[in-house]
Amino acid sequence: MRRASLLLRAAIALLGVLSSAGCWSSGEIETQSVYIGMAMDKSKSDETEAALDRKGGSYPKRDAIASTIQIVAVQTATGASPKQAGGEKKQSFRNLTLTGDSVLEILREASLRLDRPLIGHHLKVIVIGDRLARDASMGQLLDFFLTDNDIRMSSLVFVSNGHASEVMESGVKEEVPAFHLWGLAKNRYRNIKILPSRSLATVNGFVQAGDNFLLQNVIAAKGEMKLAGAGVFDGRSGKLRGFLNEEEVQSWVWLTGRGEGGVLKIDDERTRQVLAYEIETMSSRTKASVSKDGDISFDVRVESRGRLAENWTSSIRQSDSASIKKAERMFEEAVSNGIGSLLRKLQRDYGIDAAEFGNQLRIQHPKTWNKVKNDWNDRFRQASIRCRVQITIADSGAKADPAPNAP
Amino acid sequence: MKADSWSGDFDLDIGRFREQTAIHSDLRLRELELGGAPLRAALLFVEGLSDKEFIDRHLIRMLMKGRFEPPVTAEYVKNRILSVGALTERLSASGWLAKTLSGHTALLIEGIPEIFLIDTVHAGKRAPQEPESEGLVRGPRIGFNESLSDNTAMLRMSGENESLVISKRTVGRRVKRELAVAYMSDIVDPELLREVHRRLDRIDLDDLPESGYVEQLIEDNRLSPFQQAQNTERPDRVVAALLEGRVALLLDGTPFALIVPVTLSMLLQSPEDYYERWLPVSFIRILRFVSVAVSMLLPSIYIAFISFNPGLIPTKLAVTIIETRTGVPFPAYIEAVFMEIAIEVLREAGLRLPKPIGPAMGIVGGLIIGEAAVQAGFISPILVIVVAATAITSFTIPSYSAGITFRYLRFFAMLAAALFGLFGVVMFLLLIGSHLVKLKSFGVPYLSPAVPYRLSDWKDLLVRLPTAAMKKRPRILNPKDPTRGG
Repeated sequence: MRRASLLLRAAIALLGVLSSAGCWSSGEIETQSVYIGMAMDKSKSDETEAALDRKGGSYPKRDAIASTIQIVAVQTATGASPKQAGGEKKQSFRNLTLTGDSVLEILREASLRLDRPLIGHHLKVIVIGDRLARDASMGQLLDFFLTDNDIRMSSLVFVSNGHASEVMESGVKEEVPAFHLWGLAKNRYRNIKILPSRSLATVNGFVQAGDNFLLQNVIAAKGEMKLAGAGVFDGRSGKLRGFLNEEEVQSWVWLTGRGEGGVLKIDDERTRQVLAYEIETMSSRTKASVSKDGDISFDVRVESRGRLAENWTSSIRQSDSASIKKAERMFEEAVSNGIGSLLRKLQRDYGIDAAEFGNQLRIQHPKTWNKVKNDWNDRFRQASIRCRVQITIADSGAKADPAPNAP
Repeated sequence: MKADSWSGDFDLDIGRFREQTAIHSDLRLRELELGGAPLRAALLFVEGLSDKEFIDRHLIRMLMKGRFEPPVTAEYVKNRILSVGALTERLSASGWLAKTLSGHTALLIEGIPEIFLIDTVHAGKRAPQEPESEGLVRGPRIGFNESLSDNTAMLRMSGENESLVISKRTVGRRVKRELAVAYMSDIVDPELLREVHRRLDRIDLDDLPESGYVEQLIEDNRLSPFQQAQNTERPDRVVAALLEGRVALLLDGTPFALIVPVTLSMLLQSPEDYYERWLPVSFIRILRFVSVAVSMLLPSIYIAFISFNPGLIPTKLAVTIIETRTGVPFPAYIEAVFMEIAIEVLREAGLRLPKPIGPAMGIVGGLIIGEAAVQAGFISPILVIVVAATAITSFTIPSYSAGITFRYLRFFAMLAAALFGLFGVVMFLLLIGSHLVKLKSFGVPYLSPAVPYRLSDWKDLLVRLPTAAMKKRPRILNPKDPTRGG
């Protein structure tokens, strides 16, 4: 009897301790605001915020960053049940624009306007407007995202030539723009004009190492978004220096051999008709060499195998190996020309090694690298880069040519 | 005249018969005269319980039509007259009544100071049927019934085998029942057998109506949520266990035999695992392990993810969950406990209801509770899926008793999840794990062969290797003969 009552008391005490100590970080998912996208611009006034400010809802700050936070699955007045929305399911989202100078403060400021606090576990994309990226360094802008323990290092970072917040407003109806953008970045196996995805982790690597890097550019117009080229970032300042267009991004991918698939289209030199090559594999090797008087040169060898996927001309016949050779040569020339113009832009216009030549030099000639690394971008301007492209058409497709001797 | 022996004087003895049986109105006394000799005799038996036809055809006919040649002695009756196998003599006056009341026929003959007890027990018993609690698609369709002699006979029927020993003993202080201990004399570890007998000796209770009583009185750890003896209705399962070196206990009056020692993996195995080919069976076994984990942990993981770790849900799923949960007034824990209790109540109700109503009730209840609760908006549809998944997966556990264990452990996992999230679930698993590692059934570690680690016995744990590859008995049972074949 005594023992039983002792047990009972111990059980009650244990239950009390557990239930008061437990649950402390409990918070139902639907009582929190999941934000999946964030756009940062150089201060652009938001009407709602301006109106709130006029009524006295402001605090001491520099209006440096206008941050647009995209929250998914917001409560709608129509009710909770997805069935009531009719047959098709509508994904709901809400954008909230706040201005401030600290990203964390901006996010916490949102709690003054949202009943459900923000949680960052599901942040997928961060888009930075070009004016902000030119002014502030990537290291500063992304510092909060890298420090925060909620946010995943797999969040993708984009730059936008224009207002980044427009990207968050765009997209096909009934689709969340952040998800749309996240999906676009995964299309690399279909199109060569997309950079390898730049997650917070990779961008942090570039920033910490002081490397130059490219960020995928996303633009928005008329309510639709598009991946278009890339922003060139200077490793020393961490700031945006300029943009590459789609063609140049394509050449960058060829140069670095990082493509996963895509198309190379040229015009046949004789008939001016379309010829398209579909990339199956590609690779590139860079050999760095240093001459006796210290001149640095690079030999890049790009190789690719693929298939002749579209042929409008009569001068190239799929079954004829000489004509396939001719097509290969035309494709090689097109790639070389593209790489040449890319390198001209990087070397002459920007003077920024955004194609990781410095890294190759570091690996192959570490001593030289140590000497030149402090003014590498200047040395890169003078480096001579030769590029050889070899394209093999391994497969000319399922189409059969008419027999040459056929009547 | 001594009070506890028979006098031989018929009038005196029959008077005693009458006196002692006066209160038992279902006893029938039949007096008759022996054929050929002027001697009186009396038969006493229970109406309905004793085999009336046998008594009419053999006993009464034998006694009345036989040519008795004096002197009629006990030896003479035993050796020349009564042509029955099961016969006992009682000199003393004690004990005969209990036997008679349990179906034996007592025979008293004038001039013989003894009473003959003839086994005419003919209880209303069930023909062997397919076991209901352990259905198989492929395998013997016979199950134990309530008669111990039938059950031991079923074990004998498994094949010619002289090492199968069935030793009977009685248990129960007031209601004495027979309990058979079955084992293979040339396989079983003698120490295990001694331990079984030692524990059976300790049983001291006036009645043991079901083998569950025996199970609870001989188990190692009474506070453990896990059973420490396996119950089965299947003779093939018992024989297979005996051949591994285990001991089976069969109690009169119940179709459930006990197998000791038991390990956790046995509870998740079905005899069919050995009858079907090994590849499909291995797949099903892994499925069963997954099902156990799901049935025990899914609601708690749901609670932990919803309330504590929203970052672990894939984003698109998180969006869907938020959308469906918006407007649900309860926290995930209350919601989940409510639905889990509802489903357990439904299950229990379906079990207790008359058979034709049970399934209908289950369907109606499930539909109403699930559909209406979602429609009313106080349960999220995702939870209905979770609850349905836990219910379905819990039915894959072959042992009914083990199923109950895993089902109620689920509630503690949910409590842990509600208090501490995923951390709590992990702590709960550690707690259960450490208990299981410590638990023993008749000296055999409960988690063997996983803990203690013995790779050679893993052939029959997560997967089942081809029958030809399993030539060794489990070493943890310390069998006398460790090999099954060449």
